[in-house]
Amino acid sequence: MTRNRLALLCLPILGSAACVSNTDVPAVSVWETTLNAALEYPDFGGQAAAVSEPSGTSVGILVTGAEPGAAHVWGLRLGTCASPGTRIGPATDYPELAIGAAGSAEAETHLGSRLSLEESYHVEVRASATDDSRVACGDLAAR
Amino acid sequence: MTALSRVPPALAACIAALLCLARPAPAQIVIEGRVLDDMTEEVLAGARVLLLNRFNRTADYAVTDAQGRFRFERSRNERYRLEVRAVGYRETITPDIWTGDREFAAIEVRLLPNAVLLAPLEIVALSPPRTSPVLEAMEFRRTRGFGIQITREAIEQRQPMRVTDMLMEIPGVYADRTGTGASARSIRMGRALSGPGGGPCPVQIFLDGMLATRPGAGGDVSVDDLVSPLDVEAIEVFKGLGSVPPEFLNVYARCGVIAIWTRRSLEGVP
Repeated sequence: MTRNRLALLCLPILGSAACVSNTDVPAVSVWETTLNAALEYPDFGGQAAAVSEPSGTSVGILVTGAEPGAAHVWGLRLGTCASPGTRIGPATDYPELAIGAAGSAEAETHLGSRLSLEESYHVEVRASATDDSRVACGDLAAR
Repeated sequence: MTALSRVPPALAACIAALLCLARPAPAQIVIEGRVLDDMTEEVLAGARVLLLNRFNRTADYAVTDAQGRFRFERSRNERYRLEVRAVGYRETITPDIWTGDREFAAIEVRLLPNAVLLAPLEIVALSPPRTSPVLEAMEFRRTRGFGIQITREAIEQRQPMRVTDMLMEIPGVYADRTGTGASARSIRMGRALSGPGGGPCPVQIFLDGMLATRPGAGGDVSVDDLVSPLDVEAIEVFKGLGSVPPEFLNVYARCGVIAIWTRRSLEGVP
Protein backbone atom coordinates (compact mmCIF):
# COMPACT_ATOMS: atom_id res chain seq x y z
CA MET A 1 0.00 0.00 0.00
CA THR A 2 1.34 3.41 -0.99
CA ARG A 3 1.70 5.84 1.82
CA ASN A 4 0.63 9.39 1.37
CA ARG A 5 2.47 11.36 4.03
CA LEU A 6 0.09 14.28 3.80
CA ALA A 7 -3.03 12.25 4.06
CA LEU A 8 -4.79 11.64 7.28
CA LEU A 9 -4.24 8.28 8.77
CA CYS A 10 -7.25 6.94 10.56
CA LEU A 11 -6.42 4.30 13.08
CA PRO A 12 -9.17 1.77 13.51
CA ILE A 13 -9.55 1.53 17.23
CA LEU A 14 -12.38 -0.25 18.93
CA GLY A 15 -14.44 2.12 20.97
CA SER A 16 -12.79 5.26 19.69
CA ALA A 17 -11.97 7.08 16.50
CA ALA A 18 -8.63 8.78 17.06
CA CYS A 19 -7.53 10.19 13.73
CA VAL A 20 -4.01 11.53 13.54
CA SER A 21 -1.98 13.04 10.77
CA ASN A 22 1.34 11.62 9.66
CA THR A 23 2.71 15.13 9.52
CA ASP A 24 2.05 15.99 13.16
CA VAL A 25 3.09 12.72 14.73
CA PRO A 26 6.69 12.60 15.84
CA ALA A 27 8.45 9.26 15.61
CA VAL A 28 8.21 8.87 19.34
CA SER A 29 6.65 10.85 22.14
CA VAL A 30 6.66 10.41 25.90
CA TRP A 31 3.70 11.27 28.06
CA GLU A 32 3.22 11.28 31.80
CA THR A 33 0.75 12.17 34.49
CA THR A 34 0.23 12.06 38.21
CA LEU A 35 -3.07 10.56 39.26
CA ASN A 36 -5.42 12.70 41.34
CA ALA A 37 -7.68 10.77 43.65
CA ALA A 38 -11.41 11.23 43.85
CA LEU A 39 -12.71 12.64 47.13
CA GLU A 40 -13.93 9.23 48.25
CA TYR A 41 -10.39 7.84 47.96
CA PRO A 42 -8.20 10.38 49.78
CA ASP A 43 -5.22 8.03 50.16
CA PHE A 44 -5.22 6.89 46.56
CA GLY A 45 -2.33 8.06 44.36
CA GLY A 46 -0.11 7.00 41.53
CA GLN A 47 1.28 7.88 38.18
CA ALA A 48 1.02 6.78 34.58
CA ALA A 49 3.29 7.10 31.57
CA ALA A 50 2.99 6.39 27.88
CA VAL A 51 5.54 6.00 25.12
CA SER A 52 4.09 6.40 21.65
CA GLU A 53 6.07 4.89 18.80
CA PRO A 54 5.38 3.98 15.18
CA SER A 55 4.38 0.48 16.26
CA GLY A 56 1.90 1.72 18.85
CA THR A 57 1.80 3.03 22.38
CA SER A 58 3.06 1.46 25.56
CA VAL A 59 1.15 2.61 28.63
CA GLY A 60 2.09 1.88 32.22
CA ILE A 61 0.37 2.74 35.47
CA LEU A 62 1.26 2.43 39.13
CA VAL A 63 -1.26 3.08 41.87
CA THR A 64 -0.64 3.41 45.60
CA GLY A 65 -2.71 3.89 48.70
CA ALA A 66 -5.44 1.57 47.50
CA GLU A 67 -7.38 -0.93 49.55
CA PRO A 68 -5.55 -4.27 49.60
CA GLY A 69 -7.46 -6.93 47.75
CA ALA A 70 -9.36 -4.49 45.56
CA ALA A 71 -9.34 -4.88 41.78
CA HIS A 72 -9.56 -1.61 39.89
CA VAL A 73 -9.84 -1.14 36.16
CA TRP A 74 -8.12 1.60 34.21
CA GLY A 75 -7.74 2.94 30.72
CA LEU A 76 -6.19 5.53 28.47
CA ARG A 77 -8.93 7.80 27.23
CA LEU A 78 -9.40 10.67 24.87
CA GLY A 79 -10.07 14.10 26.34
CA THR A 80 -9.27 15.33 29.81
CA CYS A 81 -10.39 14.36 33.28
CA ALA A 82 -12.71 17.36 33.22
CA SER A 83 -14.03 16.55 29.78
CA PRO A 84 -13.54 12.85 29.23
CA GLY A 85 -13.92 11.05 25.94
CA THR A 86 -13.95 7.40 24.98
CA ARG A 87 -11.44 4.78 26.00
CA ILE A 88 -8.73 3.91 23.46
CA GLY A 89 -9.01 0.22 22.74
CA PRO A 90 -11.22 -2.38 24.36
CA ALA A 91 -11.31 -2.96 28.11
CA THR A 92 -9.54 -6.25 27.57
CA ASP A 93 -6.44 -4.34 26.45
CA TYR A 94 -5.95 -3.13 30.00
CA PRO A 95 -4.87 -5.63 32.65
CA GLU A 96 -6.69 -5.26 35.94
CA LEU A 97 -5.00 -3.47 38.81
CA ALA A 98 -4.97 -6.17 41.46
CA ILE A 99 -4.09 -4.31 44.66
CA GLY A 100 -1.52 -6.12 46.77
CA ALA A 101 -1.05 -6.20 50.51
CA ALA A 102 0.95 -2.98 50.41
CA GLY A 103 -1.93 -1.17 48.74
CA SER A 104 -0.18 -0.76 45.41
CA ALA A 105 -0.42 -2.30 41.97
CA GLU A 106 1.22 -1.84 38.61
CA ALA A 107 0.06 -2.69 35.09
CA GLU A 108 1.13 -2.15 31.51
CA THR A 109 -0.35 -2.53 28.09
CA HIS A 110 0.60 -1.97 24.50
CA LEU A 111 -1.97 -0.35 22.25
CA GLY A 112 -1.90 -0.55 18.48
CA SER A 113 -2.47 3.17 18.03
CA ARG A 114 -0.18 6.16 18.24
CA LEU A 115 -0.85 9.29 20.25
CA SER A 116 -1.20 12.65 18.57
CA LEU A 117 0.22 15.80 20.08
CA GLU A 118 -2.90 17.58 18.89
CA GLU A 119 -5.16 15.42 21.01
CA SER A 120 -5.75 15.38 24.75
CA TYR A 121 -5.55 12.13 26.66
CA HIS A 122 -6.05 11.11 30.22
CA VAL A 123 -5.71 7.98 32.32
CA GLU A 124 -8.62 7.03 34.52
CA VAL A 125 -8.90 4.43 37.26
CA ARG A 126 -12.35 3.13 38.05
CA ALA A 127 -13.64 1.24 41.05
CA SER A 128 -14.14 -2.10 39.32
CA ALA A 129 -15.27 -3.76 36.12
CA THR A 130 -18.87 -3.38 37.26
CA ASP A 131 -18.60 -0.03 39.04
CA ASP A 132 -17.76 2.89 36.78
CA SER A 133 -17.23 5.37 39.57
CA ARG A 134 -13.96 7.22 39.23
CA VAL A 135 -11.21 6.46 41.73
CA ALA A 136 -8.44 8.59 40.26
CA CYS A 137 -7.61 10.44 37.10
CA GLY A 138 -4.70 12.24 35.48
CA ASP A 139 -4.32 14.27 32.30
CA LEU A 140 -1.42 13.05 30.21
CA ALA A 141 1.11 15.69 29.20
CA ALA A 142 3.64 15.21 26.42
CA ARG A 143 7.23 16.05 27.24
CA MET B 1 45.54 -12.45 90.59
CA THR B 2 47.93 -9.52 90.64
CA ALA B 3 48.35 -6.74 93.10
CA LEU B 4 46.42 -3.53 92.95
CA SER B 5 48.36 -0.66 91.53
CA ARG B 6 47.37 2.79 92.61
CA VAL B 7 47.44 5.66 90.11
CA PRO B 8 49.04 8.91 91.38
CA PRO B 9 46.53 11.25 92.98
CA ALA B 10 47.03 13.88 90.31
CA LEU B 11 45.48 11.48 87.88
CA ALA B 12 42.82 10.48 90.32
CA ALA B 13 42.65 7.02 88.88
CA CYS B 14 42.95 3.70 90.46
CA ILE B 15 43.81 0.42 88.87
CA ALA B 16 42.05 -1.96 91.19
CA ALA B 17 43.21 -5.37 90.18
CA LEU B 18 44.59 -7.53 87.50
CA LEU B 19 42.80 -10.83 87.57
CA CYS B 20 43.19 -13.95 85.56
CA LEU B 21 39.66 -15.32 85.57
CA ALA B 22 38.05 -15.59 82.17
CA ARG B 23 39.26 -17.57 79.19
CA PRO B 24 38.86 -15.39 76.08
CA ALA B 25 40.17 -16.07 72.56
CA PRO B 26 43.79 -17.23 72.38
CA ALA B 27 46.43 -14.56 72.88
CA GLN B 28 43.75 -12.05 73.89
CA ILE B 29 43.29 -10.18 77.14
CA VAL B 30 39.97 -8.89 78.39
CA ILE B 31 40.32 -5.49 79.97
CA GLU B 32 37.24 -4.74 82.01
CA GLY B 33 36.58 -2.01 84.44
CA ARG B 34 34.41 0.75 85.72
CA VAL B 35 34.63 4.49 86.15
CA LEU B 36 33.81 6.09 89.50
CA ASP B 37 33.49 9.53 91.00
CA ASP B 38 36.51 9.73 93.31
CA MET B 39 34.63 11.77 95.88
CA THR B 40 31.26 10.08 96.08
CA GLU B 41 32.17 6.62 94.75
CA GLU B 42 29.22 6.84 92.40
CA VAL B 43 29.58 5.04 89.10
CA LEU B 44 29.82 7.29 86.03
CA ALA B 45 27.71 6.29 83.06
CA GLY B 46 28.49 7.73 79.63
CA ALA B 47 32.18 8.31 80.35
CA ARG B 48 34.38 7.97 77.27
CA VAL B 49 37.22 5.52 77.66
CA LEU B 50 40.05 5.47 75.12
CA LEU B 51 42.47 2.55 75.11
CA LEU B 52 45.86 3.94 74.09
CA ASN B 53 48.63 1.69 72.78
CA ARG B 54 52.33 2.08 73.49
CA PHE B 55 52.55 4.63 70.69
CA ASN B 56 49.91 6.69 72.48
CA ARG B 57 47.44 6.05 69.68
CA THR B 58 43.83 5.05 70.21
CA ALA B 59 43.58 1.29 69.93
CA ASP B 60 39.96 1.03 71.03
CA TYR B 61 37.11 3.10 72.37
CA ALA B 62 34.20 2.53 74.71
CA VAL B 63 31.49 4.41 76.55
CA THR B 64 30.60 3.28 80.03
CA ASP B 65 27.20 1.74 80.57
CA ALA B 66 24.66 2.52 83.28
CA GLN B 67 26.87 0.69 85.81
CA GLY B 68 29.89 2.69 84.73
CA ARG B 69 31.44 -0.37 83.10
CA PHE B 70 33.58 -0.71 79.99
CA ARG B 71 35.28 -3.66 78.29
CA PHE B 72 38.00 -4.21 75.71
CA GLU B 73 39.48 -7.33 74.16
CA ARG B 74 43.02 -6.81 72.96
CA SER B 75 46.23 -8.65 72.19
CA ARG B 76 48.32 -9.82 75.13
CA ASN B 77 51.90 -8.81 75.87
CA GLU B 78 51.15 -5.20 75.10
CA ARG B 79 51.40 -1.98 77.04
CA TYR B 80 48.18 0.05 77.28
CA ARG B 81 46.93 3.18 78.99
CA LEU B 82 43.40 4.39 79.49
CA GLU B 83 42.33 7.94 78.81
CA VAL B 84 39.00 8.62 80.50
CA ARG B 85 36.77 11.65 80.06
CA ALA B 86 33.41 12.57 81.53
CA VAL B 87 31.49 15.81 81.60
CA GLY B 88 32.17 17.64 84.85
CA TYR B 89 35.31 15.64 85.64
CA ARG B 90 38.99 16.10 85.01
CA GLU B 91 40.39 14.07 82.15
CA THR B 92 42.47 11.22 83.45
CA ILE B 93 45.17 9.08 81.87
CA THR B 94 46.25 5.98 83.72
CA PRO B 95 49.85 4.82 83.92
CA ASP B 96 50.97 2.03 81.63
CA ILE B 97 49.26 -1.30 82.08
CA TRP B 98 51.51 -4.15 81.03
CA THR B 99 49.29 -7.07 80.17
CA GLY B 100 51.95 -9.72 80.00
CA ASP B 101 50.46 -13.11 79.30
CA ARG B 102 47.39 -12.52 81.43
CA GLU B 103 43.92 -13.28 80.19
CA PHE B 104 41.97 -10.76 82.24
CA ALA B 105 42.48 -7.39 83.81
CA ALA B 106 40.03 -5.51 86.03
CA ILE B 107 40.60 -1.81 86.27
CA GLU B 108 38.90 0.86 88.31
CA VAL B 109 39.33 4.46 87.24
CA ARG B 110 38.39 7.29 89.57
CA LEU B 111 37.75 10.76 88.27
CA LEU B 112 38.02 13.96 90.23
CA PRO B 113 35.09 16.34 89.84
CA ASN B 114 35.89 19.45 87.88
CA ALA B 115 33.61 22.35 88.70
CA VAL B 116 32.14 23.69 85.49
CA LEU B 117 29.76 26.59 85.50
CA LEU B 118 27.03 25.95 83.01
CA ALA B 119 24.39 28.46 82.16
CA PRO B 120 20.87 27.10 82.09
CA LEU B 121 20.50 25.44 78.71
CA GLU B 122 17.37 25.69 76.69
CA ILE B 123 17.08 24.38 73.15
CA VAL B 124 14.83 26.75 71.25
CA ALA B 125 15.22 25.36 67.75
CA LEU B 126 16.71 22.36 66.02
CA SER B 127 17.39 22.09 62.33
CA PRO B 128 16.27 18.86 60.71
CA PRO B 129 19.06 16.32 60.34
CA ARG B 130 20.87 16.70 57.04
CA THR B 131 20.50 13.72 54.79
CA SER B 132 21.21 13.11 51.17
CA PRO B 133 18.52 14.32 48.74
CA VAL B 134 19.30 11.21 46.73
CA LEU B 135 18.53 8.93 49.65
CA GLU B 136 15.48 10.95 50.63
CA ALA B 137 14.05 10.65 47.12
CA MET B 138 14.82 6.95 47.10
CA GLU B 139 13.12 6.46 50.45
CA PHE B 140 10.11 8.38 49.16
CA ARG B 141 9.87 6.02 46.19
CA ARG B 142 10.46 2.93 48.31
CA THR B 143 7.69 3.75 50.74
CA ARG B 144 5.28 4.30 47.88
CA GLY B 145 6.10 1.12 46.02
CA PHE B 146 8.01 2.68 43.15
CA GLY B 147 10.54 0.13 41.98
CA ILE B 148 12.88 -2.15 43.88
CA GLN B 149 15.65 -0.66 46.01
CA ILE B 150 18.98 -2.28 46.83
CA THR B 151 20.65 -0.47 49.72
CA ARG B 152 24.32 -0.25 50.68
CA GLU B 153 23.52 -2.46 53.66
CA ALA B 154 22.18 -5.19 51.36
CA ILE B 155 25.22 -4.89 49.13
CA GLU B 156 27.55 -5.30 52.10
CA GLN B 157 25.62 -8.33 53.29
CA ARG B 158 25.67 -9.93 49.87
CA GLN B 159 29.22 -8.82 48.95
CA PRO B 160 28.79 -9.43 45.22
CA MET B 161 31.74 -9.59 42.85
CA ARG B 162 29.83 -7.55 40.28
CA VAL B 163 26.79 -5.31 40.30
CA THR B 164 25.03 -7.62 37.85
CA ASP B 165 25.31 -10.45 40.39
CA MET B 166 22.82 -8.59 42.59
CA LEU B 167 20.62 -7.39 39.76
CA MET B 168 20.14 -10.92 38.46
CA GLU B 169 18.66 -11.97 41.80
CA ILE B 170 15.65 -9.74 41.14
CA PRO B 171 12.80 -11.67 39.48
CA GLY B 172 12.43 -10.68 35.85
CA VAL B 173 15.96 -9.33 35.57
CA TYR B 174 18.58 -11.31 33.70
CA ALA B 175 21.88 -10.75 31.95
CA ASP B 176 22.99 -11.35 28.39
CA ARG B 177 26.59 -12.14 27.70
CA THR B 178 27.74 -9.55 25.21
CA GLY B 179 31.38 -10.51 24.81
CA THR B 180 34.13 -12.71 26.11
CA GLY B 181 35.22 -10.74 29.14
CA ALA B 182 34.06 -11.58 32.65
CA SER B 183 32.19 -8.31 32.88
CA ALA B 184 30.74 -8.35 29.37
CA ARG B 185 27.14 -8.70 30.49
CA SER B 186 24.25 -6.44 29.69
CA ILE B 187 21.05 -6.40 31.70
CA ARG B 188 17.64 -7.32 30.29
CA MET B 189 14.24 -7.31 31.90
CA GLY B 190 11.33 -9.59 31.20
CA ARG B 191 8.48 -7.52 29.88
CA ALA B 192 4.84 -7.97 30.80
CA LEU B 193 3.50 -6.17 27.74
CA SER B 194 0.82 -8.03 25.86
CA GLY B 195 1.93 -6.73 22.47
CA PRO B 196 5.28 -6.30 20.76
CA GLY B 197 6.05 -3.33 22.97
CA GLY B 198 7.70 -1.41 20.19
CA GLY B 199 10.50 -3.90 19.65
CA PRO B 200 13.70 -4.47 21.55
CA CYS B 201 15.49 -1.68 23.34
CA PRO B 202 18.19 -1.52 25.98
CA VAL B 203 17.50 -1.23 29.69
CA GLN B 204 18.12 2.37 30.58
CA ILE B 205 21.02 2.64 33.02
CA PHE B 206 21.36 5.88 34.96
CA LEU B 207 24.57 6.49 36.90
CA ASP B 208 24.17 9.23 39.52
CA GLY B 209 21.20 10.54 37.57
CA MET B 210 22.99 10.66 34.21
CA LEU B 211 21.90 8.33 31.42
CA ALA B 212 24.74 5.96 30.57
CA THR B 213 22.91 3.86 28.01
CA ARG B 214 23.33 4.93 24.41
CA PRO B 215 20.09 5.60 22.50
CA GLY B 216 18.43 2.89 20.47
CA ALA B 217 18.81 -0.84 20.09
CA GLY B 218 22.37 -2.00 20.72
CA GLY B 219 23.02 0.90 23.03
CA ASP B 220 23.53 -1.35 26.02
CA VAL B 221 26.31 -0.62 28.41
CA SER B 222 27.90 -3.14 30.71
CA VAL B 223 26.91 -2.16 34.23
CA ASP B 224 29.96 -3.93 35.58
CA ASP B 225 32.21 -1.76 33.45
CA LEU B 226 30.51 1.34 34.78
CA VAL B 227 30.77 0.78 38.48
CA SER B 228 32.04 -1.61 41.13
CA PRO B 229 29.86 -2.82 44.02
CA LEU B 230 32.36 -1.15 46.35
CA ASP B 231 31.38 2.26 44.97
CA VAL B 232 27.62 1.75 44.98
CA GLU B 233 25.47 3.38 47.64
CA ALA B 234 22.12 2.24 46.27
CA ILE B 235 20.45 0.77 43.21
CA GLU B 236 16.88 1.27 42.08
CA VAL B 237 15.24 -1.04 39.57
CA PHE B 238 12.07 -0.01 37.76
CA LYS B 239 10.71 -2.86 35.71
CA GLY B 240 7.42 -1.34 34.67
CA LEU B 241 6.75 1.80 32.68
CA GLY B 242 4.21 2.90 35.27
CA SER B 243 6.72 2.90 38.11
CA VAL B 244 9.48 4.85 36.36
CA PRO B 245 9.95 8.23 38.07
CA PRO B 246 9.54 11.20 35.71
CA GLU B 247 13.22 12.07 35.92
CA PHE B 248 14.12 8.68 34.42
CA LEU B 249 11.31 8.52 31.90
CA ASN B 250 12.37 8.37 28.26
CA VAL B 251 11.26 6.62 25.09
CA TYR B 252 13.08 3.42 26.02
CA ALA B 253 11.91 3.34 29.64
CA ARG B 254 9.42 0.61 28.68
CA CYS B 255 12.40 -1.76 28.57
CA GLY B 256 13.21 -1.04 32.19
CA VAL B 257 15.23 1.51 34.10
CA ILE B 258 18.06 0.99 36.57
CA ALA B 259 19.31 3.94 38.61
CA ILE B 260 22.67 3.41 40.28
CA TRP B 261 23.76 5.87 42.95
CA THR B 262 27.43 5.84 43.84
CA ARG B 263 28.86 6.86 47.16
CA ARG B 264 30.34 9.83 45.32
CA SER B 265 26.80 11.12 44.73
CA LEU B 266 26.41 11.55 48.49
CA GLU B 267 29.58 13.58 48.92
CA GLY B 268 29.08 16.84 50.71
CA VAL B 269 26.50 15.35 53.01
CA PRO B 270 27.88 14.94 56.53
